[in-house]
Amino acid sequence: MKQEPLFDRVLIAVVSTLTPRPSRRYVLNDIDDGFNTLAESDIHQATTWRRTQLLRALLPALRMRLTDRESWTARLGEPLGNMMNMNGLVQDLKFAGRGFKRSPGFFGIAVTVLTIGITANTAIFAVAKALFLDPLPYQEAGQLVKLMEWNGRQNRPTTISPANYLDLKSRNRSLTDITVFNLTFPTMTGAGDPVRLTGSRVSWNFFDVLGVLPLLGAAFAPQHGSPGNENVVVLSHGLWTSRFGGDESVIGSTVAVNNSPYEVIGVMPDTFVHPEPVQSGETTIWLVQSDLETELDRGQRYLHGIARLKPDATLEDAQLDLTNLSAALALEYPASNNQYSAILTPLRDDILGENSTPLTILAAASIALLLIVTTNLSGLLLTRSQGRTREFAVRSALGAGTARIRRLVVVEALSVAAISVIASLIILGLSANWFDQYQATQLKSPFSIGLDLATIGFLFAVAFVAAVSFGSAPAFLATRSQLSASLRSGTGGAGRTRRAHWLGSGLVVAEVALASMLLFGAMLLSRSFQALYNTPVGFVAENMVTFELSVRRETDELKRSAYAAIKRELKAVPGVSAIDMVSDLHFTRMNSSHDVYPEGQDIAPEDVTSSEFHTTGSSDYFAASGIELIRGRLFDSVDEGSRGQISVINRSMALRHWSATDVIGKRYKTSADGEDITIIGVVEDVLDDGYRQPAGDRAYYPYWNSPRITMTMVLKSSLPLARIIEPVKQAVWRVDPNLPLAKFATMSSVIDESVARERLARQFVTLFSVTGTFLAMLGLYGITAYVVGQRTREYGIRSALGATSSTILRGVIGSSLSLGLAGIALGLVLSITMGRMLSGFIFGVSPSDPTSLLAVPIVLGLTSIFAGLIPAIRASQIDPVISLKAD
Amino acid sequence: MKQKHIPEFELYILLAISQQKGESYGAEIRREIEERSGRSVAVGAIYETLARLERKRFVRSFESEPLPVQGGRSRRYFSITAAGSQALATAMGMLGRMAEGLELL
Repeated sequence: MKQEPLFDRVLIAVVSTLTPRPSRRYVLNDIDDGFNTLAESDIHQATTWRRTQLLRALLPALRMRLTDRESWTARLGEPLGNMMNMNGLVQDLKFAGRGFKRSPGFFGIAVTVLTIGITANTAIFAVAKALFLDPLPYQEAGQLVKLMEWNGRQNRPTTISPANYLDLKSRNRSLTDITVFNLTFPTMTGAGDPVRLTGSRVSWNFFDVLGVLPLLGAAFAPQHGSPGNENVVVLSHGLWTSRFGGDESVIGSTVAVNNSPYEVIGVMPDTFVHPEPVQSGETTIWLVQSDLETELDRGQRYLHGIARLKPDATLEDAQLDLTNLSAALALEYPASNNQYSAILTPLRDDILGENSTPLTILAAASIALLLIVTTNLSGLLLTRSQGRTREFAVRSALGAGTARIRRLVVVEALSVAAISVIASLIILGLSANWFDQYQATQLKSPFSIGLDLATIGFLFAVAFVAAVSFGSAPAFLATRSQLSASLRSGTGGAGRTRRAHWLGSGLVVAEVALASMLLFGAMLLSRSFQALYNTPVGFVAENMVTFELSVRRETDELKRSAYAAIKRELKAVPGVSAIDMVSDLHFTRMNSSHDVYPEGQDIAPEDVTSSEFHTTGSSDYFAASGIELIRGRLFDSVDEGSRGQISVINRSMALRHWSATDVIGKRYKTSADGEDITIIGVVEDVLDDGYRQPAGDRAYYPYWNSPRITMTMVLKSSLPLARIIEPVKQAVWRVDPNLPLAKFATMSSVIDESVARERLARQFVTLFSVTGTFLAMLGLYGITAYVVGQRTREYGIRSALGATSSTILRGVIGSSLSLGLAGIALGLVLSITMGRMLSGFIFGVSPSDPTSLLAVPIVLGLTSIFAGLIPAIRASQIDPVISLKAD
Repeated sequence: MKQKHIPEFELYILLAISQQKGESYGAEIRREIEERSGRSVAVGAIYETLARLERKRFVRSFESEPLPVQGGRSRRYFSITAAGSQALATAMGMLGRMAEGLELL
């Protein structure tokens, strides 16, 4: 039989532990039988049914446990049972249970608050664990390192060239092996719609270096790395199931890739994910590099490397080894290798990229929220135990020991925790799909997020620690005082009340401080996000729809005519108002760059700057995307006829090499011995690598001079995306039914995706801070209401002596406000720390942003006044006659 | 003695056992209720309620020999006691009287 998912196994263990012995076996057997019966027809339905049944068995089991007093003594035996005072514990539990019934509001709030706290922490833990702790899905993943070259001429990391790769591979002493790969977008035709896949062209030893075996067939072998044998592919599990229906006979069959026949030799297992940066998209097909030996130009750097350290080598050893080797290569090949040096980074760091910062922020925020939750519950229980002074006194008088009364309070706290754990497990279990979705759409990485044993263990641990910490303060106070005094006076003893009041006030101050820190963090992130979003991008994203298209043709002339035909067909699609195409679409990770040698300027080799460039279909591109022409002109049909080497450049590039006014007609080359290119126009800067990166130097070239295979089509349409896709596909396929269209998206969503991490951090921290503020308000309300309750007599007397209701109103609100202000003052100190932590992540706002620093005290000050309002009104309306009669 | 009130779900279970000639086991009871009421019933709730009925002494239980098949499990059979039948009769009588003369759809 197939093993149950881990979540279900844990559930079974929990149900089995909770259910008292006489029923345990039968409950589990019945669920098992029901599952087996259902599984015969529909395994999916059966699994859902079992999970539901297990979840629904939790509460009955808990109730059975609470009411089944025999089971405790039955299990431990009469003498041992008594010694452990299990009956007492059962009594305590029943006492807690009665407490639930008596004040459902209190327990409802307590459980809700704690559930929020532990669920948030567990969810963040699950993500953090997957990213930072779990091993990557490769053999001995700790030995794997990313290999790049450091370009000392421009101070940035770069990919490596085949010749350098081969030298590093054969001459190093610290690495077991090195594999290289680069991104490719092969087109697959035949059997269904043509598709453009995301693939990787790898050296033949790729799977061996990672230490992963295919699920079916074989991985690449040495002979595949030589020219003539390279027409083989390995498929991902996903592509195999979606395109080939999971048919095992696909091994050995021939598929059409880039219009050539390729033999499928292997299928990778479900768990295998290409070691690519998070969020970069899923590789579904692997092809093999066969021309590594023949590419001799060391300046052609296009390969990503992954190396495996020798078992006895450290990262430092290997780095030293490769640094020395690079120095030797730089001496041998100064033109291409001077100032270049191989660098190694742990593979995990490379894959994580910039994702660790938002996670650290989220983890810190969720811990702060948990602290608020804990202090809040502590305050709640404290207030509640104060209200029960008399009850405790009676119990004590009837012979309950100090320890017994303490345990009563702790058991109450633990019961709240137990229910919260169950609620949290249910919430997390139900959101398992969300985790999967987040994994599939946001992360797209080798990390696997899920509810495993460690995560569930973490949940229990957090709940337990929280329960003990919020239960201990009231438990301590419940017994320290002169209980007899409270019996006599009917209210709390004076010393005890004061102590409780101080402790309660301290807790509330801490809560407000933490809440203001969270609020400040949320303000900073929101304002940073606004600043990002308000940065002008330089083009008009509204109503812009984009998709990628790959046209493979024998000659450039055929490519040109195919694209011309496609443009004509697309123009005729109803609702499409403008159309053109561009390479390396803005706000994607795609970039191409070349060096710039302005005519008549003598530049030392190390001072040569580079410029990114785009190929555009024609001048229509600038119109379709709303990029403004500042000077000169755009491409026209005369240019198309003459095929002259011309370009349109952006403002930044013009200002770097020439002047804003005198640039039209200037010439430059893209390599020292290249052709002259004449500038015909200057356009406005456009952001390309997200909001954070400045526009940079940029040149645009017309498509007719250098036709490319893959272009991004850009069209303007006010129709919704879903309605435009089908007519557009049909229009393209009228030209050629084998053309693959990929990545349909609105430009707005492309931009949105570039700030997904910022948005996620902002949303969560905002959610946490609003919850935190609400809890702080609840805490303030609790303590104020409690104090008012304690002082009913005092207010009665004061009002009898002539205090007006507004005096009392002001007094009570003032006490709430002063607690709030103390918390805010402490919170401002914490906020500065928070701001420092966020400084690397925020954009366009200072880490000690005065607006945020001002807004937080105002919001929390108002919250404090609001929290004191209801108790204050109650205090001001106390009728002296009634309050004095009460005793 | 004042008649104890029987909650709805306990009533369902007592009726389900009665449908099986006064003797039935957990899975059968659940099937009976699911088929007749058309609502999904939690296994855990069945056993919780059976335990409660047993405490009230409305049902008693005994364990059967393991079923005579490979890996056969024993079953815990529940049968209605005299007190259980009486309580059920009273409750049903009460329901009947409440509904008397009504044309229920």
